[in-house]
Amino acid sequence: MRRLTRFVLRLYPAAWRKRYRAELEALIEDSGAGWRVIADLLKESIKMQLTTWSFGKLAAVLGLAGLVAAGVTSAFIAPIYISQAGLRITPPAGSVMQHATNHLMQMENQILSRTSLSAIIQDPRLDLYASERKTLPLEDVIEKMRRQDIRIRIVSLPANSSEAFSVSFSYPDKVKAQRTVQALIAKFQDANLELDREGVYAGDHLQVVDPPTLPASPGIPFLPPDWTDVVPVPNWLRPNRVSKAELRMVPASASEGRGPLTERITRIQNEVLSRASLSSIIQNPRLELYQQERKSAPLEDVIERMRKDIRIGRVSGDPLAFTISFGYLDRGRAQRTLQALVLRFVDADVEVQHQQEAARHEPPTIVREAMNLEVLDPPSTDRQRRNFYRVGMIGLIAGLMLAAVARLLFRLRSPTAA
Amino acid sequence: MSDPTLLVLSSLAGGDKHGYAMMQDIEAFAGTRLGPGTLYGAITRLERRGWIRPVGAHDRRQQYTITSAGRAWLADQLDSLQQVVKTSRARLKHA
Repeated sequence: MRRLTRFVLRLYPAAWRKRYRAELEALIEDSGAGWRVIADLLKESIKMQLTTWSFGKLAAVLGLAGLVAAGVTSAFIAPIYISQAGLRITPPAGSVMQHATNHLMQMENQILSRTSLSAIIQDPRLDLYASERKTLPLEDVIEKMRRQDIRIRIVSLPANSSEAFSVSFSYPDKVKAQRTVQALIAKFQDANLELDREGVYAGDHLQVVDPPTLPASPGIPFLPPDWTDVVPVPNWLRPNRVSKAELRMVPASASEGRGPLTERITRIQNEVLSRASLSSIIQNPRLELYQQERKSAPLEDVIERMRKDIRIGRVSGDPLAFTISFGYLDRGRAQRTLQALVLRFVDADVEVQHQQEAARHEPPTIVREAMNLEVLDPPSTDRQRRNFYRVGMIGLIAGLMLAAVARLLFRLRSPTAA
Repeated sequence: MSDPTLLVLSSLAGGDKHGYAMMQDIEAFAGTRLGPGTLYGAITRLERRGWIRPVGAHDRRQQYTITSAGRAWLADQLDSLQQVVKTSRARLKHA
């Protein structure tokens, strides 16, 4: 007990110990030591430290304590595994690489549809989110899978050759994570064959030169890239993340006049930016855009706001090319929204072409061009470390906030307690 | 009453004492046993405010005495408490 008492006395500030330690030890010798005395000394030593430390020291120590506590906590949280696979989509040799990006986006839409994901979730071999499904409606579980756990990202786009992309799935069960990615790949292959059966256009067509980019994360040194998801920064302090893409109208023959094609671009743009088109994108459950604004303003105003967030620009020296960008607080949603917009452009273009061919009584210029979808990297599974960063960041912030509150409390207390 | 500051000043108002003597005195007149940490926390604050000061020491046992500023503050606090006690008693009678 004496050793423990001496140890607790060491927790007092050094200057205090120099002045009072001897007489306090004498008092403990006279009154006797016990667990209540130890607890009393410990409480006072912490109080003494908190009142004598500068805010910087207090913040550093409590922040570090929070970080360590969070680190220990995260070690006990069930790990999350990410299974990831790489795929490549290549058009057949000799044909124009015109629709690989569109093709990919169409496949993605099919795979992330309610029907497709619900089939994967309820597949008895996978039986995903069993505990969540007991308490939540299937719609919510599908939404979680679509928005949080599945990631489809374009890895690179070597111009006019092929398009590589990755599919990943995060899940607490390592084997199920891997099997789910295998199931997603199988869905991609099925969707690829189905789209090939539908065919692609070989006439004048809209080509995606640069697919929608994933906006960069804010580059804060020593912090994980997705810190903005963790740190409670108010929306008005967050800059919009802008996803960009470039599209170009490719004429069927080089000798074709540019006039009709630029008119066609204008027509397509008007169609995409129409009220009906933007309204359906805003209300798309996969995107759920402008949720706050939709609560307080009529849909018309929100559509107008979205029109302002969409920028369509010209590409110098090429009247048939144009850029489109969309800015949003959430970078993932900015990219997904732009993907939806680009898909709208492609669909609107096909529609316009249909109408023009029908007006000219020409046969449709659909040709069968099988896109080749290959698996570059089979699904691998890694343990996710993001949990540590997230929990650690929460611990650090909690520690810093505690330091601020402690300092404020000691400042506000009565003079007798100062 | 459990405010260690008031208890220490009240104890020293009756004469100079070292820590253990204060602890026993407070237990005797207030029925509260202050822990050594709490007692020295109060002594530190009171000395910093100039309401008590150290006087002669026996061995490692440092004696403390109340200063005139400490007496004035204690008197002021007791007047306030007196007012509270008087009012509360009157209200209890009429309740």
